[in-house]
Amino acid sequence: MTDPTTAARRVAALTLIPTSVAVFGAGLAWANSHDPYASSSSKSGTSSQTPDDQLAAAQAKVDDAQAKLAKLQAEVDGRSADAAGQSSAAAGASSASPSAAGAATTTASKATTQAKATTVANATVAAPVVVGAPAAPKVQTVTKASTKP
Amino acid sequence: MTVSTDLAVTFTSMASDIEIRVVDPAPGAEEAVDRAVAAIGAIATHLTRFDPESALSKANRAPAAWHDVPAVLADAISAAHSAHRVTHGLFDPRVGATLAAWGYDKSFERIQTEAVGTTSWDIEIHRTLRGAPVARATWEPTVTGTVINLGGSPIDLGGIGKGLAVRHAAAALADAGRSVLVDAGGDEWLAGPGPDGDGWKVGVEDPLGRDEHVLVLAVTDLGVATSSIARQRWTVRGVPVHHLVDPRTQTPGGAGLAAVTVLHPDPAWAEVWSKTLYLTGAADIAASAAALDLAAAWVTVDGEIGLSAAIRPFVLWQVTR
Repeated sequence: MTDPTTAARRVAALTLIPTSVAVFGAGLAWANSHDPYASSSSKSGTSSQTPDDQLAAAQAKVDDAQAKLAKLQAEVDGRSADAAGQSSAAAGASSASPSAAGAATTTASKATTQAKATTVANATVAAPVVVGAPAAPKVQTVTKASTKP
Repeated sequence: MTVSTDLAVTFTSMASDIEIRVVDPAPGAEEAVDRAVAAIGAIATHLTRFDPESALSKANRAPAAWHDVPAVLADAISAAHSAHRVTHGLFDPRVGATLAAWGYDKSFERIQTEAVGTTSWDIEIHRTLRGAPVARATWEPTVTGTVINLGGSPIDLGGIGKGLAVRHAAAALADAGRSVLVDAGGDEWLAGPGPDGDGWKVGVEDPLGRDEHVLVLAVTDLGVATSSIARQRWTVRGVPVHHLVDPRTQTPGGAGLAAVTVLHPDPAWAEVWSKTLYLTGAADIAASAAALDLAAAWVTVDGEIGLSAAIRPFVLWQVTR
């Protein structure tokens, strides 16, 4: 199957694989900051840049991600407006959003690994989400609370 | 015209309904399913702490001693140790002692019908009220082949066991067919494009008990796990507790959260991260998921739904309220 939505999801799934490797390193830094017993930091930021320089560089990447997100959103909005009739336009937006979200999230995700979490949270606010469909699609399985751990 | 018949098996293990489904099965699929069922059975047999004769129970009775154990248990201890290190201790299988002190030393169905409470509970309730950190060293088991040493502490592998079962089953089913589903009571592996060819449609249960799903995800080649307090919660001497214990305080964790769902290429890590993210609580989970770049969704005790950036491409539908 080669429809664009499926392809986008597959690409997004693939991005999680290298991401999961990077996550382990990021996880150490994050968990360390949450560990009340840690006696020393294991953060790997060995750059000779000052914290201000690093923050500025990270902010620049976040700004770049936001600009790309805005561009993608504009494209999605433009395509939706071109669709005939309001109801079909709304449906078009729903089907187009996952692809845009996939590309946008990939861009934003790269920024998250380099910027502070609080800054990244701002960068990801613009990511579009498919919501508001009148009824839930039929599901093939359910993820849920287990009966026991 | 070729008419394909899906291959499906359901059974009960680890106190859960297990489902294995192969879409457009390839030659040898039935044997692959048999291997997957056996792999899940091995996890259930050797990793349970509710059977005093299991390999884990025997090791737990002498946690400072060396034991020659089945390979599946040695592998699980290594995996749990990796999770402990990567999460910097937030994943800690030693919380089983706290669960036992709260009466969870038997299958969950029996907790609410039998007396609970030990002298240690008085200590735990004191900690609950104080919210004080509990100082403890890093867990350092040793695994050499199939010879293990638990490092002096009994452990509970419930926080990773189902994820490992799904991981092993998924490996056994790698070439079984066009698409594969393994569902171990909500911890899942979803391979291939699914029955309709556009991803497996996964409903995310509403942890607050409403019939409608909170999300529908479209998933391909990923593990899915949900950590939730929808079912495993009870009271001890009037104090509400649940099974997701914060090792930093030895008290019920995840303040303000009802459930967390994580997508990850490895089902075992999906389970580890869903539990670990849950423990960060409602106030910190968004920043934590973003910092870790995890594909995560969560529901607060007030019913609010949160999404990380990485999970948004997989969201097919979200409930509106």
